[in-house]
Amino acid sequence: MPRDAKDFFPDSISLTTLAGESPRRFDLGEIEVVAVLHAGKPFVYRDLCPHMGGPMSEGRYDPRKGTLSCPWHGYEFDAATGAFARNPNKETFACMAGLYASHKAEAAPAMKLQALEHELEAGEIWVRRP
Amino acid sequence: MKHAFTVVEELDCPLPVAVAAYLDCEHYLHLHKGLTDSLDILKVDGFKVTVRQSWKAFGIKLGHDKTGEYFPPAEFRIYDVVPAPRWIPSVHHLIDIKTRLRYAAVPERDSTTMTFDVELEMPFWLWPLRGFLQRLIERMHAQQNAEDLAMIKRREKLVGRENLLAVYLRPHHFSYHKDEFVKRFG
Repeated sequence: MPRDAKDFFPDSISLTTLAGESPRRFDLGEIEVVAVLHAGKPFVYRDLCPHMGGPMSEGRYDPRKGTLSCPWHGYEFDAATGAFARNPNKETFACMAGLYASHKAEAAPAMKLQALEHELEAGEIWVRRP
Repeated sequence: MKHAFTVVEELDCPLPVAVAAYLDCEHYLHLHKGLTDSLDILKVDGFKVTVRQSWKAFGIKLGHDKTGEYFPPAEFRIYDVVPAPRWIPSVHHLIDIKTRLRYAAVPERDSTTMTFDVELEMPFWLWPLRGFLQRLIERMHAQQNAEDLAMIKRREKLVGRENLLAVYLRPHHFSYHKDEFVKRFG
């Protein structure tokens, strides 16, 4: 049943729409979110890569690694926690590391997808306002 | 025989942002994944970066090597494009391609003019195909531009036009020729 609009977004996400291995974008009226079914559980995040704002819903979900990647720079995030997992470009440009004084590589970037709490009832995901 | 053509377009973004997006090499393999599968840095010599750009076909990595050179503040040239591996049949055995991309600010609209010059040196018997080759290059260039602009416009909505540049100047952001870029536009 619909949740209190004060605490939850008025539109819900049907769990059946998350079948398959692609992240999906949902417009909840006030914000856009990306939802993915990972290890049988739904996870919902703001549809924004914390690196540069890319649309995570247009990226890739890798069920083997359990990551969501941004379509712009390929940065990978843990699908279950939203934590930064890997920058795949690091290897490509490894030979250029240290070439520029203005570039300071971060060993463990603190960036994280913004997770949105939600409740699951009767196959509907109700997303709590942040 | 030489076939040369120029594409001129106005990009709705400030000049430093157009330059930053070009130098933002970490997005090449992802945002422009339709244009290349892998990228290997072969040599870096000042403002010259030689790369191998490859595609996977029939289990083999095919592609080309090319040198890109930055002429600060806002010009980029590509030359010495050769097939990789050398033995593969490739158009680059027959056609020498050179490109020159220049960005210039349009202060009254806070936008950027992009001038893309292409020179194709080809044997006479390929001359009838020059129009086809031109359209192919123009299409690839337009696709790349459209993808970059879509990224810039989305970011503009999120952070505002005046804040577009900040992320490229952050210490942890990696890009080609970063010191020079920061010196010119930081």
